[in-house]
Amino acid sequence: MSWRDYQARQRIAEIGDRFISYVEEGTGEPVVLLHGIPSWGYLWHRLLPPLAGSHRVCIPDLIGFGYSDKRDCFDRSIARQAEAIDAWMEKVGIKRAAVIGHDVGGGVALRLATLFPGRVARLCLIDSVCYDSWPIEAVLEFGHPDTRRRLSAWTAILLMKQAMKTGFASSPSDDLLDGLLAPYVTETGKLSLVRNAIALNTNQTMEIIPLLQRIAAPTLVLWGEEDPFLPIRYGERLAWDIPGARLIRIKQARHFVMIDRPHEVCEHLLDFLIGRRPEEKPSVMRPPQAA
Amino acid sequence: MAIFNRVKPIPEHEAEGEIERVYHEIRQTLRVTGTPQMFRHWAAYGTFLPMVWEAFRSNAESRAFEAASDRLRAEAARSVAPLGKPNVPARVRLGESQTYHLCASLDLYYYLYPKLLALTSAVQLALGGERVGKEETGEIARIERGAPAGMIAMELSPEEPQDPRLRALFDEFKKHSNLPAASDDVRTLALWPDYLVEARKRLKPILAGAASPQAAERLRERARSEARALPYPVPLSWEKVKAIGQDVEAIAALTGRFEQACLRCILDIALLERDWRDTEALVSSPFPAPPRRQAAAAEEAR
Repeated sequence: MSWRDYQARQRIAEIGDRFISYVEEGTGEPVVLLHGIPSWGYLWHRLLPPLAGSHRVCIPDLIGFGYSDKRDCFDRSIARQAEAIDAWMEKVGIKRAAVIGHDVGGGVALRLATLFPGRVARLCLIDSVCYDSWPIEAVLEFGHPDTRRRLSAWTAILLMKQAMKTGFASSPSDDLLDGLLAPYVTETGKLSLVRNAIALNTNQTMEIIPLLQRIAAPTLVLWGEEDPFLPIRYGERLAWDIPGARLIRIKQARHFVMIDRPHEVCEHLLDFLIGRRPEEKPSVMRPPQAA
Repeated sequence: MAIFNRVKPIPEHEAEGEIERVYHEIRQTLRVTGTPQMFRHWAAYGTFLPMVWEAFRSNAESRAFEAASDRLRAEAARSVAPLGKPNVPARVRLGESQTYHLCASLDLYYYLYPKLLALTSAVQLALGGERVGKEETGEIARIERGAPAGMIAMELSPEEPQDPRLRALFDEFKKHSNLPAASDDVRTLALWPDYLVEARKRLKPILAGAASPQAAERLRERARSEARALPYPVPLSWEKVKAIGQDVEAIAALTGRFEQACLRCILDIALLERDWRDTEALVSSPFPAPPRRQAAAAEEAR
């Protein structure tokens, strides 16, 4: 599916003065997929058809990302993103959903699970930001306010592509990278991405650490074993801190596991969504040292 | 075309110091989410932009200017009503979110261009030695500052697009308008290439008819008379511009081309809007401006 095809599937939900673009396909128990930085809902395009075969799959672009509102009049931190997703779920009639988050989207999912627990029926964290694991260097660099002056949109995208490439186990195609960064190729898009990067705040995952043990939703932690951005030790720690959480290590996969190993990830997700527990035993047997 | 080689417009993200301040003021006062092309080009002429903005600012924030722009917009809406609808959406596959973005972008320019037309007309008249604006002594009503809450971000595709269809279209626009770059609305609509290509195809025969130049001429006359009736004088002249060491001939020629482009763009956008809204709705402003005092009172109440 090209990013243009994906974009054509997006719907719109107005949340007060802001708007969120999202894809909704399939019927059944709702599943909400949250992307990270610097991507958008298109990140999940390979998982959309198989998941939508048995579930109502909803993929919003976080505020300030993709084709959601990009103006400079709101807070883009994961705390506000979680509130926006809560409001969006209300708007599109999702009372409770399985929430799957990747990277920054994982941080949003974590805040939903801890602060809006009624919204989260199941929680899946995929190479997610957590604790003080983030923001990573490349994003910090990008979030320097001066970036909007130093770099043209074209240069910024080029650098972002280079940085992203290390997040894939095998070299991603140009089409894929172009698609993941398509909403950011304009100056407005770049500026929005800079603002998104500026808004990242480690405190917002640190402050919910005491709440992790209260997460009651069944939780799956899925992690690329070779993730160079958010090392697997953070996944191990999450699986230890969240009661009953299971960690699945995806071999030969890096940060973008849903691109590196789409079939494997999809299989694990479908098992998890229907509550089937694979034979694999929990990978974490003792408290890991995350940081 | 030689002048275009000498002056380079200043994009918003590259603006610094005084130009950055003026860009911010322009966005706030004109109530838009981006700095329009005309100002980015004027900024290339040293202190001309701060000068022209200082000369026009009082009018720009007045209710009278907003009302004059509203009348120009209404005139355009009525002018295009007999020309029919281009029916572009029926020929292009657009999703709900894409349609939302597209309509919101059309609204942005439908709001903005009449203001730019009134402004360029005033500048052209002033540079031509005409007296522009009156000498109102009483208190003039002003409008709220800042882009309306529902106005989408002004997003422009690159000036040199990779898509060959867009490149050809941009070149054609530049050739016809004699402007150094495609207009902002064209660059925004280029974010949906299929739509833009189809829109140009559908608009061409409509605008080639006899009614279109007549509508443009009526609009130009209306804009100039609105400019003459602005509440404050526009203290700008050929001599003043010359005194700051700028190529006043080039500036006047460029401004004239922008005035012409504004006329064309208003009619284009009004026609494209017709695919989604009827004439009655198009006569009204997409973003009616609340009065400044009311905005201040609302702020206080908060």
